[in-house]
Amino acid sequence: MKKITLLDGGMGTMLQARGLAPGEHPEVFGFNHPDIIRRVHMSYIDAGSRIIYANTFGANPRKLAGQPIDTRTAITNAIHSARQAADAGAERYGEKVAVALDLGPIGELLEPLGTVTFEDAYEAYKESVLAGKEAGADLILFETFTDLLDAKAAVLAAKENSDLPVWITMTFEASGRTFTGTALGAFAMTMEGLGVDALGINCSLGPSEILPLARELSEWTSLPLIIKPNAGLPDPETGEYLLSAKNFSEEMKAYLDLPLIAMGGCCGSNPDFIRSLCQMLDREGVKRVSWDDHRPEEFLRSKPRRRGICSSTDICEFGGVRVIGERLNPTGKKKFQEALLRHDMDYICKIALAEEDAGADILDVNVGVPGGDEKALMVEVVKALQGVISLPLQIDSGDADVVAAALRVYAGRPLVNSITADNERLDRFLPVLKKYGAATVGLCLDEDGIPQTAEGRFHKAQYILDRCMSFGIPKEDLLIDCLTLTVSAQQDQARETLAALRMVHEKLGLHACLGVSNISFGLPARSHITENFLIQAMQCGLDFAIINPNTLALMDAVSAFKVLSGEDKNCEAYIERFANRIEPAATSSGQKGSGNSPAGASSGSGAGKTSAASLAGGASTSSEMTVEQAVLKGLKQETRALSETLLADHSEEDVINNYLIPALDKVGDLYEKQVIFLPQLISSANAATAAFDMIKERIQAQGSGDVSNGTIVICTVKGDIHDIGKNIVKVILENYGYRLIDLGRDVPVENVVKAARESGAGLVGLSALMTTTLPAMEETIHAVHASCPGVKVFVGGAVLTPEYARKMGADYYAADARESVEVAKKVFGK
Amino acid sequence: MIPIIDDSIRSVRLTREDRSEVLRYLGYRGQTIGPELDALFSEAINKVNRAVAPRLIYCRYQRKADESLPDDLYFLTGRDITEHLKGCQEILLIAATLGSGLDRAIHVEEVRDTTSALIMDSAGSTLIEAVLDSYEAMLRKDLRKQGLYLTSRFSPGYGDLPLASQNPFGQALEVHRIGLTMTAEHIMVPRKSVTAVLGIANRPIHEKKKSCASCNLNASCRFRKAGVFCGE
Repeated sequence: MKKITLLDGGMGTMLQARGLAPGEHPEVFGFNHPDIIRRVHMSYIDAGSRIIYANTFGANPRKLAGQPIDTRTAITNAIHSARQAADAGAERYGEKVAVALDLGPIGELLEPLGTVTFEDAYEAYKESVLAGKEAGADLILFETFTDLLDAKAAVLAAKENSDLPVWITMTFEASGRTFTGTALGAFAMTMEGLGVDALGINCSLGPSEILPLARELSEWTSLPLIIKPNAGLPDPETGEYLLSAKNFSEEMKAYLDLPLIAMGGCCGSNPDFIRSLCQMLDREGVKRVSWDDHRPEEFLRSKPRRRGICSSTDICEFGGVRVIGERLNPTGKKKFQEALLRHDMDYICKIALAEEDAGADILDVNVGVPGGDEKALMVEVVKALQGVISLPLQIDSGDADVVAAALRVYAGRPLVNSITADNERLDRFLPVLKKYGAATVGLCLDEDGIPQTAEGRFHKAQYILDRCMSFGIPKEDLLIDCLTLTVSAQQDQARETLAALRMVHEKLGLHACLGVSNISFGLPARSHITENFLIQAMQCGLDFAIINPNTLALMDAVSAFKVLSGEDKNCEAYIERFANRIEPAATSSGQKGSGNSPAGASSGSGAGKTSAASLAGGASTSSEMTVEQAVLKGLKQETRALSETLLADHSEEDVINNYLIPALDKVGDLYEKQVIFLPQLISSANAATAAFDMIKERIQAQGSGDVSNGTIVICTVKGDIHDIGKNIVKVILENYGYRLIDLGRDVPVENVVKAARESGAGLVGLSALMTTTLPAMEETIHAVHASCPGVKVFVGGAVLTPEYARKMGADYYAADARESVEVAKKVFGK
Repeated sequence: MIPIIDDSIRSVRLTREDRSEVLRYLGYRGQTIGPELDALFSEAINKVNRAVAPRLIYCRYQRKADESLPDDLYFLTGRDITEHLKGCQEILLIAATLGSGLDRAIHVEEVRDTTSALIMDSAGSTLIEAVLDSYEAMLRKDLRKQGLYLTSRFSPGYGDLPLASQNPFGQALEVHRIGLTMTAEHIMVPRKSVTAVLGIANRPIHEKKKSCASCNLNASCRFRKAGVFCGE
């Protein structure tokens, strides 16, 4: 017999009707009127609710800041009121009534959209959870969340600071996404991975609108569902919710064929709605039970139909060949190593965007570099990437602590690369993988090395599988890597790898993963070997190919394979991929070796699409154009190509000082005279940057080292998230040969001081756009002056004036990007 | 009072005619725009149109008989807002946002191409105003039929209405229902969002004279398209 626990209904409107004043916090009202809260709870219990939500929705330290009561007082009080009602109800009906610590979202958006950090959110939830646990809540119920990372912070705070069951519901629009873009499947996979006990949907829509969303949700999870809809949609004229209690419960009937654990009502519902749900359940022969009358095994009957990994917005569903981009890795890449050590997240994000554009499904992220703090760097890079990249990530490190730190702040369910059959490594990794619910790559090797035979590797795979299963990590979450060895060094090993792959795929039924490119190392015309090996591997069952997605031939091979395997239905993706492609002549030798082709700048074309123009490499430039004209027109490729031509008979310094800088000065002059306007100034600056970057690389290759005119730390101050102005200043200053350390926006004072000190910068630039963030600017100026004597500070931003800048203690004020160049010239003398 | 979500503005997007306003935000003064920049403009505006999900919520409050503000609007303090609402029987609160998808798209564009990000930022500012203009034009039209008139928009931070009123404003209007949040520093997130207060009166409210001929929105004006004028 089907069993369902009834939740309660709306609280806000009930309190407003009973005297909650405009702007008054419900928790403060409840503290002052515990009797009213008890009566509201009691009316729900009388109607049939067996889990009541304590009046704690907004009880977190951020929302209660400046209120007469703190979080702990609010929660203790509210749980006690609920407990009194629950006890009275239990006595009255002889049924257990549970009290849920009800917690809503933090109320502000997390970084990178907002200013609240993941760590801040976690601490706030932790305080609420501890208070709720001590006050005697039976379970923790998070509801109305719209941001997956916020929800993750909340659930981790609950799991790490209490043993109480954790239920969570998020709020979706009819599109199946939350306001911040979280997808249904991403919510389900991430939360099941974190070990919540039930999940579902509340608020925003009525039962009929939520139904298709609930069905989709159930495809992605084996957990029981919670549904708490609004009383229909609001009337467009009056705002009143349209469904009557009777119609509400009629619509809720449709949920009975889903694996539901609990139902109730959200906005616009009242005890009548719960009473009506009771009657409906009785009529339908569903048993109404207390919350702990459910047995988890009744729900965890089967595995979810669909599986995959995800970011908060994008799901990479398993089943078919997927490409893992390999470019985010410093091994053998000097510029990438430098970018990591300089914390140049823009550089890393650019490479990631190029991989995304090229059609990768997942991006591998490795930040292991000598002299770098791998754990701190991994967290920094993951945070930066998830603000820019939609694709799910693969966290690549041999250190379980590094992986744990990355999994913690990742908004979604990522892949981990990797575990091995080494017991010591398994002991360190398995608890981390289990805790965060990540999928993982397992390498067929152990502390004794790589087995030389297919059978040997197969046994390692089997061992890893056994260890995972005994730890409760499902088989579907394990991807086995049979290891690619370089064919020019160990020619017989290519066959062994492929044979092992086939065995793992056929006998163990596991997903297979392979770093493909390594096969051709040391050989000429590598792409032929790599492509051929890739195709053979896919034929043997490889479904996760780690390759360079910028290598067209490999991506073409994957696209073609998907047609032949039947995965690409009606060849649609293949046809689209080649729709605008002009195939190069058969004799063309234009393809670059795999694993070595540069990430290149983004082409701006759609994902995976390629054009003949982008194949051609460098842009063709008309012979008449000069560098100055190219800069003035803002043509990146032309400026770069023309500068390269000049370098044939000019020195690097000559090109910079006699061509690029004069062109920029001209641009600046035209801007001041208003002959050109801001976007033209920026385009020209970007065009010049393309040439500068190329020249810098050449100088570095010659070993001449640093070529900068001076180091400048730049950021938008704490609390402020306006950064367009700061970014413009950065582009222009870089053009004049300064090394910029861009700390981004909403930057804490101590980070500015640290960066200034560590980089040896001579100048710090601060931007603020709001009067409310000027105090943070002033504080930052004083801190830099106090800790870094001799370092100058210049400021800018719409609300600033030269007088105010002086008053705050700034050394210089710059009205715009042009003036910032003058400031820098003064400070550095060049 | 229950705030109401207005769905009629969900499809508002930038059109060709809005380009002059986007340019104005960028400090344009008639400079020559080459084909490259022109193409960049078109692409940036298309990107904005694809990334946005406009949402608007509003609530109308009756003024008390003694002309004082309703209790719900306790946060509307200062001389300027009182002056703005003088002679109005009803007070309208609105909030609109283009959604966090645009913030994200601009953030991505900052990595790809600063120029394009800059244009998208200005295009977003133009579009959020257009969303409010579209709503306001329809409302003016409806009110006019009932012999009612609307003031212009007045936002937290204007005059002596404190920027800090942004947060209680957001709470009263339940702006979380359109995905809008306010930071502790009273910054709205998503970034391209507007909150405003308008008065409704039964006689024309004379403000400083405006004329369509001198207005830079002349071509794209959503008020003119609806057959109404922005300044009563």
